[in-house]
Amino acid sequence: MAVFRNLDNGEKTLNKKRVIILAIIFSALIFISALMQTTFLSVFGKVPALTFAVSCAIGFIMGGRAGAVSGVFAGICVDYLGSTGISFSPIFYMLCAYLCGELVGWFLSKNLPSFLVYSLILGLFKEILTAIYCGMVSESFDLWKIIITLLIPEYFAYLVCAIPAYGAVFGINKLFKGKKKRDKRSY
Amino acid sequence: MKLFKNKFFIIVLSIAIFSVIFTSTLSIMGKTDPIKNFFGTVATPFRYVGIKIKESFEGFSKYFSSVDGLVERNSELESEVDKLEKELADSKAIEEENERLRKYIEVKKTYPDFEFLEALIVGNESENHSSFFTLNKGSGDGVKLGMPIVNEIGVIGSVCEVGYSWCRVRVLTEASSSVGAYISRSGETGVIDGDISMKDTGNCILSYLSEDADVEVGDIVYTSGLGSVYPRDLYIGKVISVSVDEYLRSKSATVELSVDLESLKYVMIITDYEIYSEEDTDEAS
Repeated sequence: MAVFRNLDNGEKTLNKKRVIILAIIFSALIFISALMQTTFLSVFGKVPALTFAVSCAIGFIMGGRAGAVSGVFAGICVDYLGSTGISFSPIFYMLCAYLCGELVGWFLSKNLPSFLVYSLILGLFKEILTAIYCGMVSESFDLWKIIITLLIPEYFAYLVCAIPAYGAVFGINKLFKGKKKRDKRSY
Repeated sequence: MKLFKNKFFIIVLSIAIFSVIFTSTLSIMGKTDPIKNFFGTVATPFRYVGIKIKESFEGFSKYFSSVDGLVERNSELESEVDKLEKELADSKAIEEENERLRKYIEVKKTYPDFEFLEALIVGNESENHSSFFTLNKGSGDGVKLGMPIVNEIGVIGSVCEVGYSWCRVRVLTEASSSVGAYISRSGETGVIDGDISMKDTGNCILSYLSEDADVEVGDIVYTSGLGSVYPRDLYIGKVISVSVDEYLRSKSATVELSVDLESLKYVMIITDYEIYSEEDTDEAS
C-alpha cells in the first residue's frame, strides 16, 4: 500500500487500516464534490471545478501517487455524473493531481498559499483545455467573448473553491495524524 | 523520461486512458454504459435531496432579506409584514405546485395527442461550455432516447442519454444540437443550431436559409417536425437579428428562445406523439 506517502520525510507513515479508511473518506469526498458540482453548486454564475480542486488538494497534501488515483476517480465521477460526449477529465485530472504531489517538495512548500499558486497555474491549464474544446465544437468561435463570458468567471470560481477543498483534505489528513499521536500515547 | 519508467504512474495512466476511451466510444455510439447508469441511479436520490435543500435555503434567505427591507422602510408595519411573509413562504411551495399543474393541464389541452411525463431537473452539466441537464426520470418511467423536452411555453431540447432513474437532456443552446424549424409568417425553413458564444444569452442560430429568404426581426419560429425527433409546431422563439453571409450566399438569423433556461425547475417529456414526415407535407399541400 504505497499509495499514501508522507512527503515530509519520504517514508510510509500510514498503516494499512488507515490507508483504507483514508481512501474511503477521500472517495466519499470526491463523490460528494462531484454531486455538488453537477447538481446545484454555482459561483459567479458558473459551475466551479470543485472535484478537480479536491483531487489536486489530495495530490498536494498526500503525495503524487494518491493524487494520481484520486484524479482518475474524480475524473470518472465528473464524467459519469455530469458529462456527455467525449471527455478527457480522468487523464487531465490525474496528470494535474500527480504533478501537484510530485512538484510540491521541489517547488514551494506544503501550505495553503503554495496550493493557491499551484491552483492558479492548474486552473489556467484547465481554462486552456476548455478554450480548445470550445474552439473544436463552436462554429463561430469568438475567443475574446469566450474568455470574458466563460473562462474568466470559471477560473475565479475554481480558485474560490480551491480554498475549501484544501481545507477539507487538510482537515481529514490532520485528523488521522492526530489519531496516530493519541494511539502512541495510549500505549 | 523518468516518469514513464514509473510502473505505478503507467498503470494509473492506463486506467485513465481506458476510462476515457470506454466512455467516449459508448457516448459516440449513443449508448449508456452500465457503470454510468449505476452512478446516475445512485446519484439521483442524493441530487433530489440536494435540490430540495437548495430550494429551502433560497426560501429561507429570501424570507429574511425581505424582512430586513421592511424594517428599513417602515418599522410600524414590521410585525404585520413579518406575519404575511411567513404565510407567503409557507404557501409558496403549494402555489408553485398549483401553478405548475395548471400549466401542465393547459399544455395537455393544447396538444391532446401528446403523452406527457413531468420531470424535475436534478443535475447540471459539470462544465460551463455545454448545455445539458439531468432529469429525475429514466427508462424505468418509460423515457427513451430522443424524446422531446418541453415546458408550458415551448421546446427545450431532447433526451440524449437514458439511465434507469435518470436521463440527460441536450438543450437547444448546446453546440451539438440541431432542430428543424420554420418561420410561421413566411414558411421559410431552416435549422436551429446551438452556439457556445450565445449560451449565456439563451439564443440560437437559425441557419441554412437561402440568400433571398423572407426573414424579419420579430418573426416567430416553430419546429418543422423534420428529423423525426420533435413534433411539428412547437414554439421555439422569435428572431431578434438577421445577417447575410455574402461568401456563402446564405442568410442566418439569431433566435431568442422562448424558454428561460436559467429559471427552469420542472419540464415535460413528450413520451408519445405522431411523427411528422415529408409524405404528410405532400398530402397536406
